Amino acid sequence: MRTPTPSIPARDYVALTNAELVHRIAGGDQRALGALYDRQVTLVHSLALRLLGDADDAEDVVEETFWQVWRHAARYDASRGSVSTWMCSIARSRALDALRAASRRPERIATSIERADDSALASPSSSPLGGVEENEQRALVRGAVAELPPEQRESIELAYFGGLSQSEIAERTGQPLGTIKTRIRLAMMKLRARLSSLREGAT
Amino acid sequence: MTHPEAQELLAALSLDATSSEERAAILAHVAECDACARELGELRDAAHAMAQLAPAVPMDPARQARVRAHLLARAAERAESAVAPAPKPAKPVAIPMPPHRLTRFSTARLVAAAAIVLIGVALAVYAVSAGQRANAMQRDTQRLLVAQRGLEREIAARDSALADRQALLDAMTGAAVQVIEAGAPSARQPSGKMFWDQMSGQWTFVAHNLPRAAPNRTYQLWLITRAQRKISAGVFATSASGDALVIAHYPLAKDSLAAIAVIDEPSGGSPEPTTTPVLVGASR
Ligand SMILES: [Zn+2]
Repeated sequence: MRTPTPSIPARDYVALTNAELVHRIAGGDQRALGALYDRQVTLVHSLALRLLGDADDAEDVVEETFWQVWRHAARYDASRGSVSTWMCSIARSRALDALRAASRRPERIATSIERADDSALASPSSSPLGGVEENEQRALVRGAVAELPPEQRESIELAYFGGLSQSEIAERTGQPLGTIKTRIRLAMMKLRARLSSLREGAT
Repeated sequence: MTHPEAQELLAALSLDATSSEERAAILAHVAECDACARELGELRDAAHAMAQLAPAVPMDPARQARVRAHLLARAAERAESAVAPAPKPAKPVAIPMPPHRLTRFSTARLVAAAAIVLIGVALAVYAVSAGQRANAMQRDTQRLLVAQRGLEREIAARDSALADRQALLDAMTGAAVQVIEAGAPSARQPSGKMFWDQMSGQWTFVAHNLPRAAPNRTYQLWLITRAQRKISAGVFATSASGDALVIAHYPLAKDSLAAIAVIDEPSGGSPEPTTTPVLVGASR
């Protein structure tokens, strides 16, 4: 099914980019999978825990996310987003799926939004995710989101962390659907522009 | 969908916040439009950068090590099976559908009875949007992952060499697949998911946590139409871990399904349902 890629000395994995690791994973390099895990596990775990609020459920999502990476590394397409994006996208849909399957009660999702409230933005990034670079990224993202008008921020947070569609957000906030669509579009355009500097290195 | 229409919706799509109909239409356009594809990639990067807003919580070290070890063991196992393929498992039974039958049960009664037996079992139905084009689907790994999710765990964990996996995926991600789900709030309760490929008429049913059937008993899968026809989709047994996979072929008009049900029956199956369902999922 895949031709095994010979592994390289352990220290060399540190120097590889995420995209290079994924390329090696696609070739069946298990040590590359271990290296990507060590590098990305905290980000994936933090997202899963934020969405699910339960350490056991988050653990499941973490394992399944990396398992998907192992299974489908060959499908990764850098033109469609960074490796982090790909992994967060897997983890997020797994987590939202688990929330929906575990209880068809929408309030659980809503609760998970309210639980977080503004804490994400209020808390300084005191616990380091990874290296200095990682912290800079966090600061950049938080800064970019904090600059958005509150109603735009609310809309994209309801979508991303609540898994709500535009119509569901409109229903929840009591705003017309057209207004929500505009807020989401404006917010994402600004975020994209502000975060464009991340795209270069952060594959 | 035109280019300007797609442009309006790319931001929402990057957050998975569109309707499934919009999603299908945008993806079909994106498959043909490099500018939109590039923009969607950038918007997805921006959307998933929001993961950084989650408070950074490192995993408990013991958990982190356990998951790592488990993951690498699974990967090693899979790499070996790729070198020396495991024996092909028995093909899942494809059961020809008998002609429909009328019974004394009404769908409403079946559903009501099941609700009483299965206290706390959540029933859910959703439809995977229809009419999507194959190339658009291939371009979107995410959509495949969503559709695969139901099967992924049991296939990957239980039988990584399942030779029919691709055919199954096709049946679950095809142009007109409706998903009927009978879920449960607890991981220990029985649950099932039906993938109905309305184009090919293939029914792929996956169940978990079913208790072992008593001696001389078996599980039987039923399709119940709005006209109260009870169509057997075959009998099946569970694995030691309570999982089951049933594949059947039966053409049924798009809007004619009312519900699916799993019912405990005498060995060999029954011409019509005789007990209350163990699992039931209503279609819409
Ligand atoms: Zn376009």
